[in-house]
Order: sequence, then C-alpha cells, then structure tokens
Amino acid sequence: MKTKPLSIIFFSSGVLLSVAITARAELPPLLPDPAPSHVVYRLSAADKLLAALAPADAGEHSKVQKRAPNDEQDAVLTSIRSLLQLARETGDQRLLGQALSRLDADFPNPTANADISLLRADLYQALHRFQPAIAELQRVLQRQPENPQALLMLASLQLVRGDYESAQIACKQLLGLVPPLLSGSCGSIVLARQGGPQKAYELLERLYEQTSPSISDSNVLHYAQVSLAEIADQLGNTSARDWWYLALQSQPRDLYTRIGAARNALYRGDPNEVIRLSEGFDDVDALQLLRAQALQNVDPAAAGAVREKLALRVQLARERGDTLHARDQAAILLDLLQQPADALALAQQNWSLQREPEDTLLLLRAAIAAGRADVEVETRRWLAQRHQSHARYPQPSSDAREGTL
Amino acid sequence: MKRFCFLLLLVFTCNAWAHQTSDSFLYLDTANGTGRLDLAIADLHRIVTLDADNDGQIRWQEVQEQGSHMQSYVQQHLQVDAEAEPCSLEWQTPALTLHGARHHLAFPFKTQCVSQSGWQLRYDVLFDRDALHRAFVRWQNANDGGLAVLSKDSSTYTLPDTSNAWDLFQDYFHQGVAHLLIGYDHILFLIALLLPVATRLVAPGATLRSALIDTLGIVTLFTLAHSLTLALSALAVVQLPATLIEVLIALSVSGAGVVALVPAWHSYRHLLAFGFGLVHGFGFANVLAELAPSLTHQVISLAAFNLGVEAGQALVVGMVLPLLYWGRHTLQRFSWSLPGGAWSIVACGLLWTWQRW
Repeated sequence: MKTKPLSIIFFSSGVLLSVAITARAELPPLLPDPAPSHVVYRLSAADKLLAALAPADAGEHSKVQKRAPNDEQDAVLTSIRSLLQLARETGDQRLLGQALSRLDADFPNPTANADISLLRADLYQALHRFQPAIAELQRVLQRQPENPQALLMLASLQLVRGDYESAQIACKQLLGLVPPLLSGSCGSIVLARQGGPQKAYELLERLYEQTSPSISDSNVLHYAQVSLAEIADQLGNTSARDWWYLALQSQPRDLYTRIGAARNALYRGDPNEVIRLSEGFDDVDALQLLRAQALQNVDPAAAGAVREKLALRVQLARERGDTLHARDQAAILLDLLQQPADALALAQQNWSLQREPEDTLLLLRAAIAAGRADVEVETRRWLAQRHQSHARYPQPSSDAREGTL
Repeated sequence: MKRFCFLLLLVFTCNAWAHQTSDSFLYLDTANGTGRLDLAIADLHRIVTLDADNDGQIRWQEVQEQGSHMQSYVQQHLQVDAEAEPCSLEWQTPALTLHGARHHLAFPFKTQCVSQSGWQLRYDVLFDRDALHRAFVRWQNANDGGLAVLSKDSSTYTLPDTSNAWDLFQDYFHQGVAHLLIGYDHILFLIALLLPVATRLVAPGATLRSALIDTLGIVTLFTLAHSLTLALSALAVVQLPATLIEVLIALSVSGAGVVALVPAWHSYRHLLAFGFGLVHGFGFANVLAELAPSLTHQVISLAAFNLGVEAGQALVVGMVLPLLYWGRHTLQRFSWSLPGGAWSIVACGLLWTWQRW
C-alpha cells in the first residue's frame, strides 16, 4: 500500500518532466518588446568579472605571447586566478571556460614556467581532467622537486583518485617545506582513508590544538579544519559538525565547505540547518539536491519544485555532454528521480575518475538500488584492499553477501 | 607566500559546479529557409558591454543600443553552407525570448538557399572567450529533423542527408521489420493468439482453409488496431506515457496466454487481438518517436514503418503457422505441450509486467 502514492508521484513527475523537456526543445516564441527601462538581466559577480576580463576582440590573446613582458604575463595570470577563485565560490562553469580559453590562447603548452604550469594543473583539476593535471605537476616537480604547491596539489589529486600510496609519498615530501599543520593534515587524511581514521583523527586533533594558536594563516587552519571534519564524518563522530562550522566560519564563501556542512547536517537529521545553508545557492546543484532531500518532510511542495528544477538540469547537462556534474547527476537520479540504473551508470563513470568516500558511497548505494551485486562486490573488494571504512557506507546487500563477500 | 595561500584554497577538488553554463540555441529549418540563434543576455554582455550605466542591471534600452554591434558579431561567427557554398543570410530585427527563466536575445534570419541537401553549420560564437561554450542545434528539413551539440572542438555540423524519399522509406521500413522481429513481446502475443489454431487443426471436420481464415481474421484485426493507434500517436493526436504502454503490452501477452489455455474463451481472441492491438500500436509509436523526434515527412515515415511492422508480422505468422500445421499430431500426442506453452507465455508476460512496473 505504501508504494502506491509514491508510484503516482513518480509517474506524475515523469509525465511533467517529459512535457517540460519537450517544451524546451521547441522554438520558444519571441516576446513583445518591453519598456526601454525594463530590466532584462541582473548581473552577478561572475558576470561582472567575465565581462571585465573578456578579451576585447579575438586578436588580443596573441598580444601577451608576442610581447611577453613579465608584468603583462603576471597580469594575465592574476586574471585567470581571479576567474578560478570566483569559480570556487560560485560554482559558475563559465568562469572555468574563460580561464581555459585565456590560458590556452596566451601561454604555450608545455611551458617551462612553473607558475603557468601550476595554474594549468589547477584548472585541469577543476575540470576533472586529472591525468593532464598530474602530468603538469610532475613536469614542475622534475625541475623543482621541492615545490610545495605542486606537492600539495599532487597529494590532493592522488587522494581524490584513490591512489593513496602516491598521495602518501607527496605528503611526506611536504615535511619541512610547509607548516607542520599542513603536512600533518595531508598525512592524516591519507592515513584515514587507509584504515586508520581513529588514529589519524587523534593525531591531527592534537596537532591542531598544539599549533593552531600560533598560526595566523587562515588558509592553513581551514585546510586542517576541513580535514578533521572529513575524518570525523568518516568515523561518524559528532565532532564533525563543529569542525565543519569552524571551517565555514574561516572560509564562508567556500562552496566545498558549505556542501560538507550541509551534508553533515542532513545525515545528523537537521533539515532546517540544510535549508539555511542552501538558501540563496539556487544554482549549485549539490546544495539544491541536499535542500530537496531536507525539504521532503518539511515542505513537500517546495521539495517537488526543487526536484523538477534539478531534473531539467540533469537533462540539459547530459545533452551538453557535461562530465563535471557526473556525481551530482547520479545522486539526483538516485535520490530524487528514482532511476537507479541510470544513476549507477553515471556513478560508475564518476568513480572511474574520482574515488572520494562520497563517490564510493554513491556507487555502493546506486549498485544496491539497481540490484547490481557484481558492482557492489567489486567496489567493496577495492575498499577492503585499502582497509577503508566509513560510517555511512551501507551494509552489504543480501545478494552481495551471497556472492564473494 | 600570498600566491601559495591562494593555491592552498584550491586543493579540495570542487564538486560544487553549478548549472550556470554558457549555452546558445540555434534553430534551422532548411525547408523554409529560416533560422534563429538565441544567445543569453549574460553571454552577450561578454561580447559587448551592455550595462552602459554600470549599475549592475541590463535594461532593454541598453540592449537595443548595442543591437548593431551584436548583430555584426553574430554575422561574423555563424555561417550556413549549402552544397559547399556559403548561404547569404538576411538578418532580421533581434527580439527577446525566454529559455527557462532567462532572457535570451533571438537573432532570426532567412536564407535564399533552396538546396535539399549538403547543409552545413559553422559556428564559433564565444569560443574565443569560453572554451566550454555549447550551441544546441535543432534542425529540420522537408523529411526529418534532429538535434546536435556544437562545441569548440566540434564547431562544424553537417546535417544528415535525408532528401531522398525512397531512402527514407527503406530506412523506416527496415526499422519497422527489425522492431517487430526483436520485439519479443509482440511476437509472443501473436504466438499466444495463434496457439489455439493447432487445436482447431486436429478437431473433427477441421480443414486447413478454416484455420487459415481464422488466422487471417485475427492478424487483420490486430493489424487494423495497431495501425490506427500508431498513426494517432505518431501524429500526436493521442499520446500516452511509455511506461504505461509497456506494462499494458506485457499484460496483453499474459492475457493472450490465459485465453489460449481455456478453449471456451478461444472465440474472444478476435476481440483480444483488436483491443490489445490498440495498445501495441502505441508501443510501435514510441519506437518511431525515438527514431525521429520530428517527422516532417510523416506520411512516408509512418507508412514505411507500419508496412515494415506488417512485413515482420507476416514473417512470424508465416513461420509459426506451418510449424503448427506440421506438428499438430505431435502436439495432440503430447497433450501437455500446448497448455505448457501457454503457461510459459503467461509467466513471461507477468515477468515483463513486474520488470516494467
């Protein structure tokens, strides 16, 4: 009896979605001219930066490369960094697109300039082009083996890819090159992913208590706070909430931290907090997904509106061939649209690129929902080889238990 | 150190990408020689400064003041070719339109090119500014229509050549045959309806002629019914959700199996063939819709697809009927064989119903 209303809701959503998608594909009508003073668009911070840093014409790109005076080169690099920084804060992909265009047009590839290489690696990382990013960092490290930025980014990338041995090597190389809290955070998170989350948490917490009062750099503190929050989440420790809030206090505009805090709030059963954290972030899919889940019991009508909006975005992203959204798309398909088979395909595509606990959790849930014990067994085998545990990883399904587990 | 701190901000791999992307929409109807390029106001602001008073808001007047600049940019970055020759485009006054809740400026154009084939689009709007920009193309010609996505790495698109009506007919005919032959549910439904023919063939006084007439009646009713709903659905007169249709088709298989099991109900097969034939027609229409989202040459496509389905159906009947005829005595000897077959069909239908629900 329980499934009947649900089936009706999903069926109705499907019909509405089909109608909406069909409507979008049609030629929309031309509108009558509005009044001259009618506002047709309000510029966001991203719009303003994009326009300010756009080349005046197509020929301008080549100027930098031809003249290449250091200060002009620095100015372009600063522009690209600004685009990337705002992309981190707003999630606006157009900023990445413009950064990529400028970088490709203005600077040779490959380059001997470490600054350009690091920026290119960072942009590739943001675009989830992990292999080219790693290749770029390795080029820097060949010339400057102790470049702390390259080592830190390499450790981060290898961690995301699930290559913990390489991440550990990079973290160890950071010792003595960066503040101990930074190298300690790097090493701790790698240890946590390889079977030692409790030990990693205790070590990093102690290091934080000992060193944080003397650290003035908020970025170093923020990195440690997020690392502690993630390890606490992995352990299912209630202190995760405090670490996420501390991190959010020090970097309130960082979306990664906001999403982490909102996810933590959802899992500890505080939907109102999720709604507060996602307020005003209508364009950020990951936050909107969490918002829709939080609204389900609080305001089902509002949850339905968010669900429809996200369903259309998934469709558009798939038509676009957008791979940046694979995790979000998979989660939306699984948790909101009840399409486990499609969700699993995207979760697998995502997992082939990145293997953070959230990616693995999503893959396991999608495999279980889709009844694909083979995928579940394979994923759990990968986890077992690395002794990785997480408080939110689901119990093995009965099919997987009957299999090789 | 400052730069180092900046990079430190970026070590977490961001999974927080928003749906804010740079997308345009390009429509081209080669049959009428018309087209339209819709660009987001936000994207146009990256090309030409639209916020003249720098108040963070773009007003319609500010857009109009830059109309000629924008049109000039668009003209330089979009080319339409036919038969390897550039088409002269006659641009009309831009107007506002909406995609979702966002205002776009539509640049309508006309072309004098009248070629039925060899159409190509060359598009490089914004690619120098945004390597992730995409153009969603929706094209239509006299026979067909379709969608494409253009990007920096794939900025040219050649429209498929569907000008030859005979090629189009053949293509859809083959699709119709193929769909019937790989559509196990349709085949099983037909077989279930034909199973009682074997019983009829061994009955005292039965003739092959009467069995053939019986089969012909069932197949004709099934054909009439599914042709009717296929046409109604393909022409968008009546449309039903695909999931519902798929479930009903699966149920029809079980229903036909049950009727085959009960000799007293065999006379209902004609009613069943017509009733569920209507449902199967919607199923065929869903396949046809997937093959061609927009059917300008609907009569040819529809007729060819339907004829293909009939040909496939005739092939199945042509294979099943002789087998039932030649094997009728064997089937009579093994009395469990016909009910066993019918029960298997019922089970298959129920399994599909469960899977499709």
